Order: sequence, then C-alpha cells, then structure tokens
Amino acid sequence: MKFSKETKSFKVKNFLLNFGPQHPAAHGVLRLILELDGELVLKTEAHIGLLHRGTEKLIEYKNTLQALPYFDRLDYVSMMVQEYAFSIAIENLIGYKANIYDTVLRIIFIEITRILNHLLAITTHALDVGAMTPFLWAFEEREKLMFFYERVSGARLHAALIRPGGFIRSIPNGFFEQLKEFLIEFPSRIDEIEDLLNKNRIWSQRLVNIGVLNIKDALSYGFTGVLLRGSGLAWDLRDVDNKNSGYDLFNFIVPIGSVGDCYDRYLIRLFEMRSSCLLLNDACTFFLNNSAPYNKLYDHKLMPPSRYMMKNSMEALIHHFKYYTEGLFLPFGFSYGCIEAPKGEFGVSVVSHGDSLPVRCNIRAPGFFHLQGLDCLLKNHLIADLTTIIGALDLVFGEIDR
Amino acid sequence: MHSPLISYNSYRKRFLLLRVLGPKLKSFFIDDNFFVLDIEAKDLIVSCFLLKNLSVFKFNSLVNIFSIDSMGLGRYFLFYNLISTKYNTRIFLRVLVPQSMLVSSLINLYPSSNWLEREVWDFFGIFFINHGDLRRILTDYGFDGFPLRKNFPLTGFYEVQYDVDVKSVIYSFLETTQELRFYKFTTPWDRSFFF
Repeated sequence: MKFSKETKSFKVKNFLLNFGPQHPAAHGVLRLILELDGELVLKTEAHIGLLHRGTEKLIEYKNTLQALPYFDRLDYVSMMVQEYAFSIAIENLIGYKANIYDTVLRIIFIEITRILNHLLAITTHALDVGAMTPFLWAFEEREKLMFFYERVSGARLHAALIRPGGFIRSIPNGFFEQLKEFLIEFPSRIDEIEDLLNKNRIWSQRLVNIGVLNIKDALSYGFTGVLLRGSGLAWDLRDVDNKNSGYDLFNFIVPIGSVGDCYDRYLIRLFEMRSSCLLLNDACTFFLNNSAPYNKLYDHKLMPPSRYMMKNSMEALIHHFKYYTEGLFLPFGFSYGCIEAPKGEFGVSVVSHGDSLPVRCNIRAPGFFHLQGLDCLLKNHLIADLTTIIGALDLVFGEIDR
Repeated sequence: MHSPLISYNSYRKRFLLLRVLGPKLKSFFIDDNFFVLDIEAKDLIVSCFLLKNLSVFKFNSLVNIFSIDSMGLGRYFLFYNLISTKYNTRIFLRVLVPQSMLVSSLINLYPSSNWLEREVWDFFGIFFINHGDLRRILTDYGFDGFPLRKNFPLTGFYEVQYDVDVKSVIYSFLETTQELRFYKFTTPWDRSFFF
C-alpha cells in the first residue's frame, strides 16, 4: 500500500446514527435517525409505527362494547383515563350526562391512574439517567395502586371498567376506606423518592437546563400536559374545563414550570402526584359522607341490566339482548371527548352516521405530538441528553403508534 | 348536556367569528358542545391565518387533524381541531376534500401539522400541497394502499412471517382459512327517537 506524501485537507462530515428500535432507553419501539456533529445532535428524525396495530380501523368494525378494551391497550400505563375519554365521547354523542356519583368515581380512578403513570414516568426516567432505586420503590407502590384496579374490575391493568353510561361493576365494600389508608402513607413514599433525586448531583446535572422549550414553541408543536405546563403555561383541561369533567367539586393547584427544562417537568410530575393524593382524599371523603346508591338505576339503553334483573324482567331481558348483540346505537353526528391524561390531552373524536358502529374514531394521543417536538427539543444537545429528554417526554408507544 | 369541551359560548366572539370568516364559510353548525365551521379547502390557509393571528381569536395551537371517509358524494372530510389557550376555547374546522385530493398544508402556520398531515396522507391518501416531507408515518416501510379508506379491507392484503428457509422476514399474500365475518346487528328501524 502506498501513501501519498501530500497532505490532504478533508472535511469532517456529519454522520448519521441509528438509535433503536430496541434500545432500552427508547421506552419502546422508537427508531431515531440522529444526525451528529461529534457528540452534538443536529437533527433527529423519528421513525414510528413499529407498534401500529390499526386500532382506529378496528374500531370502525366494532360496537362500543367491543371497542372499549382497545383504549386500555393504547397507553398501557394510564388505562382508565383512556376508557374515560372514549366513554365521554360516546356519551356526548348520545347526549347522556353521568350522575354525580359516577363523575366523582371516575375522578377517583383517573387520579389513581395519574399516580400510576407518574410513578412509572419519573422512575423509569431516573432509571435511564442512572438512578435505579426509585424505580424499585415506585413499582411496589404501583402494585398497591393496581390492587385498587383489581378489587374493582378484576384486572390489574386492562380494567375495561368505565363504560359509556357508567361503571360496569359496583364498587366493593370498604374500597374507599382502604384507599384512604393507602393515601395516608403514600406521600411519604414520594418524599423518599424526592430525597433520592431532588438534590442528587448527578440527577440535577443531567436534567437542569436540558431540553428547554418556551411556551410559543410548545403550543405550536401541539404540546399539552406536563410539557406545556413545564414551559410555563397553566393549561390543564381539568382546570380550564372543570364544570364538565366534575373537577369543579375539588380544589387543586395547577403547577407550572419556570424554566421549561426537564427538571421542571420532573418537579411538576411530583407535584401532580401530591395533588392527586389530595384530590383522591377529597373524593373518598365525598363518598364516605354521602353513601352512593347501592342499586344505581342506569339507563339500560346504555348500560346492561344486572343479572338478577335480566332473569326477572322481560324489559331487562330485551335490553340485555339488544346491548350484547347490537351494541349502543350512536346517533348521527360528530363528537369529541377529551381528558387531561397524565401525558397530556387525550382526545377521542367519533363520527357516526346513525349506526351502532362509528364511521370513524380518531384518537388524539398526546405522545404523538411530544415525539414530534423531539427534533426541536434535542437540537444542539449532546447525545447523552437524548435519554434524559426522551425520558422526560414520557413516551409510550402504544398510544403513539395506535 | 355533558361536555368535556370548552364551548364557544361568548356570543360577541361568535358574532365576530362569523363576521371575519363570513365570506369564507359555507356553513357552520353549533352543536350543544361543539363549534364546527365548514370551510372550503381553498380558504383553509386564510381562515387559519385569521383564526391564529387575530387578537379576538388567538387559536394558537392546532391540536388535531383527522379525516373521515364518509362514502358519500363528498367522500373525504378533514377535521381540524384548534384551541385558544388565551380564551379557553376550542373550535373545529371541517373541510370537504376536493376531488383532486389536494389540500394546502398548514405547516407554516402550525408546525404540529407536520406529522398529522403525514398521518392523514398515510391513512387516506389526501395530498397536502407544500408540505415538503409528506412520507408515510405509521404504516410499515414500503406499505401500499391507504388503509383507513373504507374500500381497504380490514384484514389487509399481505401478512408478514419469518421464513426458515430464507432466514428472514418475508411478505406474502394473506391467506385466511375463512373470510372475515362481519355481521351488522343494527336494526333497520329508526332508533333516533330513543335519545
């Protein structure tokens, strides 16, 4: 081999790096094509859809009863919130308003779900950044919370409990007392996580001033939820829309960030867990003070009658049969149901042409928008910050890929 | 009526909206919950520009775009979901997609429409002019067809499997032991009076 003596001046070109789709820090099946200049990320291109299951297409072929469990499986760490969004969309279309007991009960499960989600979000984020202990502790708490899911629905994760028109099962005795007991000791578990992370030097070095985003960009990228609040805008659908979701019954604070970095997002998630605890406590008190009617009289056009009624009343038998064969009849029209999911605004748009199957059921997943903004967030950061930013976005690919 | 939405309840603003967009509007309907404006595809950008920038509206975030295939005379509709964080309002724009299947892209007004329009293109084959990066997003690499159109079968055309001989994942034509059995139990009677 010959070497030429003349020295060549050559240009160092940016190079492309493939990240994922099986990288453990990608929180699922995320494939990124990173354009790097040394360690600096110049451009990020996300390839999504590796977990695409065609949920929206499938729902067009399913009646309400069959479609509802798909929502548990979208964002599989905040299950009941999505059932709620779908139920609300259907109820809007039909023109049904849930009674106060169901509304508060739904709030209870939404807030339990919020804590479940944030425990996972914070601690897996910490795991990515290098702190393992919070993860182990939080999963014990998640197990306790899932016990409440299990008590009421029989399933730890995919509950399928909140249906259009109410709840499919009644709440077991002693549920609220047990939940209150849990809430007494749970805040100290948050304290423990905070003790490990808040002033931890590695944690703050890796999070503070990383992924800063201003309000204008956050809005233009369609960010909602913790990311928008982290940028400093107090936009929480529970708050701005409290009359309709029943949240006007309770007091809670919407935390906002001051810098808009990943550390703010972490602090907001922590704060939201605490405020969820207070909300849950208030909601439990509501139920312990006004005992809910035991035999709730649901509209049997929407909810199936009980087994006892079904066996003893002709009307109920007809309702039962129509509910389980034809499904809910969706009147002609368009409807949108949304809820402040732990990750952001989760919305379901339903278009019906007067049939028991919807013509279209669109799912607005917050994570989809957050991942879209990743390019903006990650620009001119080091590649080591990638895990921090992805962790703070709280991505779950079930909902992004749908 | 139960609504998780922020309705467009100020009559003054409603009036202003109609004054400003009036010439552009084909029709509008105010459901109990939703404020839906019908806009022609050619007026989309102008309308969105006005809605975004006029100080009385300030619809500063595009939250969602989705399309429906209604199988009717005007077959595809696009729904745009805008929110104004300043006035706590939400508005829906409904656009009838013209026969040419061309709609202008909103990417310069709302960067969030990037992936949303890619998704609509991917699922329905509606082309967005001036998008610049209109690729498929959720379906597989090299996917053919537009899966959320009503004439696309639920089971699809291809299946993916691992072939031991080739030692790689291969695509083959879908073979099912039985056709998709799709029953509709909806009564032919008019049931709308129940609600």
